[in-house]
Amino acid sequence: MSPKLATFSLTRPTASVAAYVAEPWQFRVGIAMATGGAMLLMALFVLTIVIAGWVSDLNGSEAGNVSLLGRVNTYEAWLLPVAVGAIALAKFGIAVILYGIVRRLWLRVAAVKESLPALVGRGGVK
Amino acid sequence: MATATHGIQTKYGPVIVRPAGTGQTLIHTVANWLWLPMLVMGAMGVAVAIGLGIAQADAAKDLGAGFSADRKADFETLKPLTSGTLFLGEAFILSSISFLLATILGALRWGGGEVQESVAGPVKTLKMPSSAWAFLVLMMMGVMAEVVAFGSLVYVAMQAHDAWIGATAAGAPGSIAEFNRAVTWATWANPLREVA
Repeated sequence: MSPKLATFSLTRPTASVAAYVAEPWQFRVGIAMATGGAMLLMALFVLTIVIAGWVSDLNGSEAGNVSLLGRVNTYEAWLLPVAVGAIALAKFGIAVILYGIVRRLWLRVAAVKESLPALVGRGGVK
Repeated sequence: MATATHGIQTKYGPVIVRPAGTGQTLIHTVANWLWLPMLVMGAMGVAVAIGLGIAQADAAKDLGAGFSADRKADFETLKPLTSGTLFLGEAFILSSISFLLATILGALRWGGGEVQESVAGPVKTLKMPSSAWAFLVLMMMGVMAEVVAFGSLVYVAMQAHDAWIGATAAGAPGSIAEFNRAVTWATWANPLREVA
């Protein structure tokens, strides 16, 4: 494996250590995505309670049942994908935060690499 | 003076001592390359599944308006397709998270080696633990099982379509053999999807 292939990384920042002081956008975006996913799930949970009410009403006349069953099927059909989509949004948020962590880690490594030799030279590290 | 690569035992476990930096292991390189494509594929899978779910909702609305074999076949075909695509997308997103965690471990290993090198000492890194191999094997098994479940659910969708397209009345499929095949495959494909 060539060293270039081994060192290419989206997670290793090419910016200088000075970038360490800048606030990483990943933490804000990641938390916003995870919170958005959780809120969407809460809204969908309320909707499932409404649908459960419709299901409990499925004992009326035959004609009414067909129409109500159609409505239940319609809501259920999009509810599951949107609910799993909300969970996926929260997981996407986790991924963005992890991306921020690994980039921050590399900035820490760069900072320690710069400062440690000087500290060792001055006898500052035991 | 640089020493040859050798192993030593420490209180933290077996350690490899190298004269220079460690770079990345094969697993860390793979994780570094694959986390983003997995995340993008996962997002695409979930987006496609939401689209299929909306189409299924539309088919359910049509079916509620009045039974026809075409409408029932559309509804029964879209049901397994939606869930299969949904969970495949989820599996890709979870794989991406696993790869990102591996990338963090890789950064700690590689970065730690660079820090040790910067103070002119031999680089010591822990030997890869068995849990890391278990993680890799389990994750690969999970993704492969999810792909198998997705393929099976596509087959279920095809059988369900063929079973219902010839239906003459609500609740009575046109082809009992294909209906039974769809039910049989769905019976094990859905739990496999969850386990994966």
